[in-house]
Amino acid sequence: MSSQNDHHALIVNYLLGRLSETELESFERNYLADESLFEELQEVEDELIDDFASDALTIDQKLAFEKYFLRSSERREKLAFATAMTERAVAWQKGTLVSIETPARDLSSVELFDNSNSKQHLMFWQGSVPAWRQWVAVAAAVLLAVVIGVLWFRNRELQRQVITTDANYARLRQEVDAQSKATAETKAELSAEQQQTQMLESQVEQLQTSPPDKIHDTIVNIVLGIDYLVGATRGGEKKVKTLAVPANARLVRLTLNVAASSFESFNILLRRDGERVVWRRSGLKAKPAGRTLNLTIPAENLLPGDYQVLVLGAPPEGDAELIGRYFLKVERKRATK
Amino acid sequence: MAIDRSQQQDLAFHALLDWLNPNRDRAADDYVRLHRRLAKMFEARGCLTPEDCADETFNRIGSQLIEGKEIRTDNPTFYINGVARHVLLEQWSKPVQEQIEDLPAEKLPQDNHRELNEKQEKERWHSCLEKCLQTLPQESRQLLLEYYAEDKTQKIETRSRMAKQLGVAAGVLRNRIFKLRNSLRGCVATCLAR
Repeated sequence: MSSQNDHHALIVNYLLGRLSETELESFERNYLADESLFEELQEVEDELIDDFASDALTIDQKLAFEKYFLRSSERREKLAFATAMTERAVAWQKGTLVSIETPARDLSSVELFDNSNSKQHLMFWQGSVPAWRQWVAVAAAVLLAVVIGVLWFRNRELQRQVITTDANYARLRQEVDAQSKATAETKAELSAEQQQTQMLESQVEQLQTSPPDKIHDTIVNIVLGIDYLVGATRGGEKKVKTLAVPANARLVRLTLNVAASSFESFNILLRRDGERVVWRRSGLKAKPAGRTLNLTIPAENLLPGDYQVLVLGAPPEGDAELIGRYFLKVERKRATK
Repeated sequence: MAIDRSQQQDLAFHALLDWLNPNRDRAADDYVRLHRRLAKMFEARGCLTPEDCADETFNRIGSQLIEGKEIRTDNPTFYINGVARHVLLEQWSKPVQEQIEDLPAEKLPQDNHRELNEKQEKERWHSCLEKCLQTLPQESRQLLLEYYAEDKTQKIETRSRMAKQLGVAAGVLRNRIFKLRNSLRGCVATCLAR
């Protein structure tokens, strides 16, 4: 257990930039050679972000997190997600607690009188009773009346609270229903996105486990020239480039020629049938000589169909700007025997 | 006959794959996996464009190979690590301006316009998150919400309790949360990109 904790602490310190140069070198050598360490690092990274979002890091860790860890834009996006998710979860927890703490509605079982000694009480009143005892009895009756009155008011108050809680509950239910209705339209679309994500994961697994064979055409290269780029503002003639992917291809390399622009960084979205994003890359830089962008995609992600390759210029600040798009038609060649 | 830059890059890429593994399928798999790991490593070391740094590392090795350099090693990852360290040192020695461009928003001078944008951005985040949460099965949604609502200063106790309730080992729970979180994050990113 202790060695597991040490290992976990080592990864945390790596992510927070708190390893010595020797430790760094040793860690990274192992890391590059070991896929399981890569997966573990991703898990620890996510947990670190969650911990920061919920204020669970030590002061030293917080400082290192802000100063070192958050330099990456991808990590800042992950932190935005963790923060939103934590806020949502805390709100959900409070909502849950309210429903758990709803007062019990059945108050009828409260017993105010004990009648077991009623006969004795009758005999007591029928006999000769001294005056002081009568006064005590009157005082007791008055006290009893007061107690009954207080209990009655308390009961009414509780009932009012129950009614208010019911009304709040009904209102919350209505809000939830309305929200569910609003999301229903996008639900199908988002499910499709999830399926796509699962498909991508299985494709990656398949790539990792596929046995060697005697296949050629493993890598397909395709160049999309500037004449194929349809601009976002001034338009242009739509030309569709056909990409024939051999059945046995594993990687497709797209070389995109873009017009010279002030952007230093580009984002690429590959959309199938104009809707689904099947691949994305951000932070690509055009090579200075030819203003070309290179993109490598596992071939299994490219099913036959029509695609658009969206090229967005990413300014240092603010939203990315659509520069233009290429139109691509993907065909799959049959396997040759 | 002279070859252009694009052809040279292709040659370098093919040489790299041959060096990674003589079997092309295996080489392509290795390339995808190593590129992913390398980009993550560059990100951890403060490279502002980790994917680019990983590309640059592989480009350099490919170029060395087509120039005739014979790289003998039992484990290519050790050599890749060495080249990556050089790329990293060069990144660090670049002018500081590039880093300023990518500073977190809160570290940059604030103005009203930015605050308004941040507010709108936050609303978009929550809206997308809500939509995406609704697409998860009830059990998964509840698991994630419980995980994010937990007191993380006592996470060992809380997570072992959650794992016990689900009847799974703590490691399994951790992995399940990891996958759910990734799936939800992907959904939110897609929603925000629209």
